[in-house]
Amino acid sequence: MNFGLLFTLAARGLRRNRRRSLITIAGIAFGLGLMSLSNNIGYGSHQDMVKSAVGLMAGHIVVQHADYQDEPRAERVVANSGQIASSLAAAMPEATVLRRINLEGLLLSPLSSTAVGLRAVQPEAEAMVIDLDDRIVEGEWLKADDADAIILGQLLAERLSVGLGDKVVFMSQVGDRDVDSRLFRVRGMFRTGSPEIDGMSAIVNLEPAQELLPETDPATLVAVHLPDDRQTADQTVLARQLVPDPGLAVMAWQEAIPDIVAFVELDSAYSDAMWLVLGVIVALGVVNTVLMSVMERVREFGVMMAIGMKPRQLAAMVLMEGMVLGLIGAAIGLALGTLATWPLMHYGLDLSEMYGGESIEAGGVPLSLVLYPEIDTARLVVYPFIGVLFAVLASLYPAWKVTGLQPVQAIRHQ
Amino acid sequence: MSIVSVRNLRREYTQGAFTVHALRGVDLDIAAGEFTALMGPSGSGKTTLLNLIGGLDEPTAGEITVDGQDLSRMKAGDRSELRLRRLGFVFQSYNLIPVLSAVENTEFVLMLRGESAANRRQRAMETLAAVGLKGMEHRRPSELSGGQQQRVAVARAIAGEPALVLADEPTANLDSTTGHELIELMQRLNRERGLTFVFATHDPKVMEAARRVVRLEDGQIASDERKGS
Repeated sequence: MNFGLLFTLAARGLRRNRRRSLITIAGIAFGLGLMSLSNNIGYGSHQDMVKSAVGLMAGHIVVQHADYQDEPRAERVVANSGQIASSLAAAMPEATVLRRINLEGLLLSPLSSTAVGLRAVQPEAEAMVIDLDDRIVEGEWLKADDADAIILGQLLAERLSVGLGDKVVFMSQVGDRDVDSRLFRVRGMFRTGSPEIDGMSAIVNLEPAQELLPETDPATLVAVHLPDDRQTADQTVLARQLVPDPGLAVMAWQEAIPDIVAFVELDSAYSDAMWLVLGVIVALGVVNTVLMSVMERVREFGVMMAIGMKPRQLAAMVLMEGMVLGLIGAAIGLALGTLATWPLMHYGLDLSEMYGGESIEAGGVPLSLVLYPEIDTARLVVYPFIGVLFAVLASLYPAWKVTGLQPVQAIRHQ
Repeated sequence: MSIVSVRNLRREYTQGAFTVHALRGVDLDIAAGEFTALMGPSGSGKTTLLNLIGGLDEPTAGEITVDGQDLSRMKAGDRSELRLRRLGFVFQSYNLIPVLSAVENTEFVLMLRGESAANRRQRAMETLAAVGLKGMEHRRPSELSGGQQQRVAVARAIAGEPALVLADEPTANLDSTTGHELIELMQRLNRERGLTFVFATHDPKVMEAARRVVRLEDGQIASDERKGS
């Protein structure tokens, strides 16, 4: 049957009771608009989280000891890390390649001691991929030639009762080696706003930390930061060719920080489940509208059947009504969601009042409490389909009712 | 040649504990080009007979052949197809599709048949002109009088050039002048186009105009008169 005729009948049919149709369209538009806005906020915060995690904890590509992911023990290092970093940097000139050491141990001051996560870095390269150097609240960021320098989280400095220029000793035991220690002098303090990070993190230069580890020129990881995440898959293949050592693992960030990936997936799945519930509620509204519209036109359907329209064609017409409702509602909903997202993309959504802080920690990553939504283009395409699909599914029952009509009884229907 | 052939047609309805015998063994032949009125009091079975001939209802027993096809052996989908291709219907309450204009109502059957837009629009316009509605093609049913709506219904019934037009009390909701005009219109279409009309009616004017009057009483044919023969 002519698609244009079905569409005309459906669209004009919906105009018969404009108020009812408009209320249903408003319901679909509101639901989808809210879903779109919420998803954009979630997507923005997930992107922010992944970006922070990639910067802080990994890189787009990570080279680590093959067993480090199974159990991150300090002695599981990448030996000759400088050579590996150089070969990767030569093959990927646009990338930033850096090395890090992560060590857990005890930090002692004359007045106190506390457990810390020590992070040893190459200061200049590190400053290019994370913003900790911008979060210095006292003193200054690390200098590459200052082997004794240590930067402490502000809260950690308070716990140890130390200030700029004070001495602290880091103690750690790596593998079967004896407990080893190294003296550092406080050169700066940073503040991320996350109590977990500010209270437990210390940063030093790579070389002094290497003294605490076995192997030649060791590092916990060699990280490659690419200018665009979309290059990750291809460049990971290249990196695997450059680092063929079976004792080392070359991973894309998705493998290197699986907890973050799982967190994002779980959070997205939870949101989707919530929206599914809302979708069902909106769909019930569509069922009501289409069913009412059908029940009011039983006689008309009887006449249509009498003049030769088949039940399946009538059902298609009813489904088309649901589709038209869904299409209009989806179009308005997406426009609303995008319009509401727009100002937030520029000015942000400030949740700091609600949470009472500057940032929160999730999976070891500090997240800003000012959320900047991003338009999730992949879902932007999917949402209209979801809206229309729900509306069409909601019209299945009314459409099925129509197929059961008998022409003679339907024509007599008052 | 008979366009309609009915043999020993029975239709029974069950209403609670009762069985209503709407038709009790009707035999009837209608030739192509006839202008036939089925008359009779309410409950005599004329609308039931019309519905059965139109394939809108299924008989309890008996045979119905329309345009050479045995309706009693056809599935619902095939009966729909027969109605679409070979039959036209005019109802008492006009029963136009309110959201479509006069010309869209008229071309509706042609759309269902899948005819091209240009062809069906031209035929619908010509048919509306033939029933005296030139200039009113784009009005919605709500913008037309009862008589004009029934003319659109006639146009819709004949636009597809059916073998048979079935009309159930087509003048019942019209005043006498408009009803008379509608009968004249259908007479003219019968005369000029050779269309076969079968009416179920109470209206004496239709009876006067009909060339054949079949009277039904209690579900049986009481008389069958042909005029001028």
